[in-house]
Amino acid sequence: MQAIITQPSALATRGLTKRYGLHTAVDEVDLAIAPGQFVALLGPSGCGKTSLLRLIAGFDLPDAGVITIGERTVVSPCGAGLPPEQRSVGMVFQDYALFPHLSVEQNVAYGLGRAPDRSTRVAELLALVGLAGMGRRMPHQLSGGQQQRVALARALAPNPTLLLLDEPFSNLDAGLRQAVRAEVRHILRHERVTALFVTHDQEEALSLADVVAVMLKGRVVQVARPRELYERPASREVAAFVGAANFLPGAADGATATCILGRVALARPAHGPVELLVRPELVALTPDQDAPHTVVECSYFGADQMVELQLAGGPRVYARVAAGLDLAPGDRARAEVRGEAVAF
Amino acid sequence: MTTLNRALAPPTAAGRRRKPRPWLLIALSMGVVALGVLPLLYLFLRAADAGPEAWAALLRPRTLAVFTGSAALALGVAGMSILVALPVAWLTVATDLPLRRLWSVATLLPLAVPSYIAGFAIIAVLGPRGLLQQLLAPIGVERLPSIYGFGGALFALTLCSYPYVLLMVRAALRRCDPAVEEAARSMGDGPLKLFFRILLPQLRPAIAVGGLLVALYTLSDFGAVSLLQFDSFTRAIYVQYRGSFDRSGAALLSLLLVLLTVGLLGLERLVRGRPSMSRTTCAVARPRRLVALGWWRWPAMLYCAGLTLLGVGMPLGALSYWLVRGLSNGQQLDMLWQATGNSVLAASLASVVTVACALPVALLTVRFPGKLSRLIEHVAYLGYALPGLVVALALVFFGATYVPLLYQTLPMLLIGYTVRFLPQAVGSLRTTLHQLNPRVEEAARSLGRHPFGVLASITAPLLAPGMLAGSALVFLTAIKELPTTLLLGPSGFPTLATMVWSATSEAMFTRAAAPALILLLISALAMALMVAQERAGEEERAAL
Repeated sequence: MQAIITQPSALATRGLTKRYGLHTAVDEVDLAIAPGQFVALLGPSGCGKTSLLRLIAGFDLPDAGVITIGERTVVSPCGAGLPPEQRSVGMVFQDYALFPHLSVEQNVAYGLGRAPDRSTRVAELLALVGLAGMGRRMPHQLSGGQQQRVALARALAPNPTLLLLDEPFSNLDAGLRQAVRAEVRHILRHERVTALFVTHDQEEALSLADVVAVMLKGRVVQVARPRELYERPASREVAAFVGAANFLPGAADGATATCILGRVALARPAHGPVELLVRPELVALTPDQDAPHTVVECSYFGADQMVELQLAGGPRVYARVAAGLDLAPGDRARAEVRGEAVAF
Repeated sequence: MTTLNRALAPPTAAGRRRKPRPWLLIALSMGVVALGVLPLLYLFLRAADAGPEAWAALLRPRTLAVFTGSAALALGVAGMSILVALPVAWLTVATDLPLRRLWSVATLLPLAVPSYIAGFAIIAVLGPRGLLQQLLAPIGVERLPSIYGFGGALFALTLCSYPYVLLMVRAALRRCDPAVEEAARSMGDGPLKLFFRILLPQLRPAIAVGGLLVALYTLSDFGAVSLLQFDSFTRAIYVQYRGSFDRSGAALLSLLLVLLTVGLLGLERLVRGRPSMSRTTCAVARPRRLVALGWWRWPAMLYCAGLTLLGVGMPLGALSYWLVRGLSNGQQLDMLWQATGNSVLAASLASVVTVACALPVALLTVRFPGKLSRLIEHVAYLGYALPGLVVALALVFFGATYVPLLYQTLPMLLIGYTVRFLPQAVGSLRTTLHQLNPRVEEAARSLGRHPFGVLASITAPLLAPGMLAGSALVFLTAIKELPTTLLLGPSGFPTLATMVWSATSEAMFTRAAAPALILLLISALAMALMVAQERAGEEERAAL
């Protein structure tokens, strides 16, 4: 986390707070994004992600806190805020919000004002998002995926310091989503833009972003690279929200701990009674008719399978194992942990 | 540490940060709304000024008679409308009535007949020297029972206002879940029992609201009651206003009418506020299986046809008859062209001014909801709820005292129209604004445009259809409006509406026929437009 904040920030918020009546939607959020980073703001629905995004864009003013974009303070400690049009922040809305009465070209050119190279920039962007030759079409003549690319090109056109994307992929059907995600990342890399995107889809956040900020109940609880977030979650809540998790009681003595599955290595040293996070893919199973544990359920996914196992005299755990492993409910299996657990 | 920080921070710092208020919009909206409120306040002042004679006049038994008469007429018309409309609603929604679609449109057509034209038709057909008397003269009928007074007014107003109940009840009937009726059928109820035991209770809220709408319409009506010489509030106010120098008597009577109207509005709120009966089963019901009428379909058809004939056929027939007769007797039409010109001029100016005034109010109430904008919205709707005659009279008093320059000029008439029809324009604009995604405006802001630039390049073009529909609606309503035109119009400025009114009140049917026909045509257009706009709105909602 330290390593991320040492560079000068493209976006920095300090103590950002927004209340609606008694409900605190955004609670003292400190967030910093380095230039060129693609950051995911991940959280369940209703956690305040979109509220935070609207504060940064300038559509709402915070009750407290400071926002800096690039080198400019857009919301100062005394509460004065720059209006959205002066913040140099591009926004891609969940429902795209294209101007329905303007053509694709005019939509993209809207933020360019009277720049002399206007039409060159529009053509360049349309080519970048794969819509060359479609500039004369009206928004309603485009498919959902195409509309989204127009929204992206429109937001990128004035070279914003920061690009915000609000659930950018949620309106696309599942088949299209995968392709569009990869494309959007490619476009953002090409334009070297700093971007913050909101999502509730952990898989999307982990696979797409350079850095993931996890937001729970209005607070940003962890900011980390995807791998670190998944393997070393900062708290039990984060661990439970990001990815599937088994929690087992255990006793730690420094670098290792003992639990019902035996002795396990720890990612962070700990002492005394702890709760151990063991990801399902760290649980290895061996079919053995004399073993104490019983298979309860098998869910087959093609590439792998998830096995629910009743531990003898203990809780149930999930194990993600090779698809080829031949197990059925009622079978017996031995289980062990391969890899490092995290103690809380 | 954090507690220390919290202790040091000024406790009110968080509360002070607010989104800036749209002061310009608020100021503009307040100005527009004040246009309607100030004259009304002045009406109170004027009434407070009233001398002992005016108060004495108010306490005369005649006033009581006017009060009870008006209330009785309002209730009577509401009751009759419910009786007339209920069977039509059921027949056109729930039965296999032949030509169902035709009847469902035809029975709504009387909405397009202004009350003073319905009044004209009744006098021209059933009145002394009317069509019926002329037909019967050869067999020695010299005299028909008088159609003037309560009976005539009841008849005329029922004919042109029952469609309000019909619209309400029909919509409610369509929302009823047929599965409930099927359950009742399976328990042995026949069609008639079904209607009284199952349908009627479900329709009660719609019936009540429709009835109250009709009562309000009746209370504010000026044209029909004046022509049919029924002593209602509006007529008494007009007579008092025209007949005496002391106008505070008219002001007092107006306030009394406002009181009655507010009472009715309160009643409507009460009825509407009750929790509505809603469907308990799935949201999307199967289409209703129609009740087979069998032999009964013939009287049912006859009923619908008779109603249409009375409501639309009679005015059209009477007007055409008198028009042809007037033309063949050499009736001059030059006054007509002048009046048409005046009407079109006043109405088109009114539509432009009203929509321009409605724009800030609509923007404020849709984009910046809050206590203040809700208050402004309520006050803007006042002009619509109050009887047109009262609004016009208030403006006359106010204008004559404070802005004598404007008194009896075209601008004054336009102000009157604006106060009266602002809600229509605001409604049209609001509908369009609600369909406009606010994110679109935010997107434009984040692309670097100032709020005014966004208004000009995004909001206004997208709002254009709503503005067009709103101005068309105001145009078509203003051209029909009688009391405002009569009281606020410049002298020597005849319009179609005032021409119909004055000719009919002098029983000069041939002179009234041509302008009335033109007005009827315009009303039909207005209705077609409203229906089209409603459809477009529904389609747009369905597409979203």
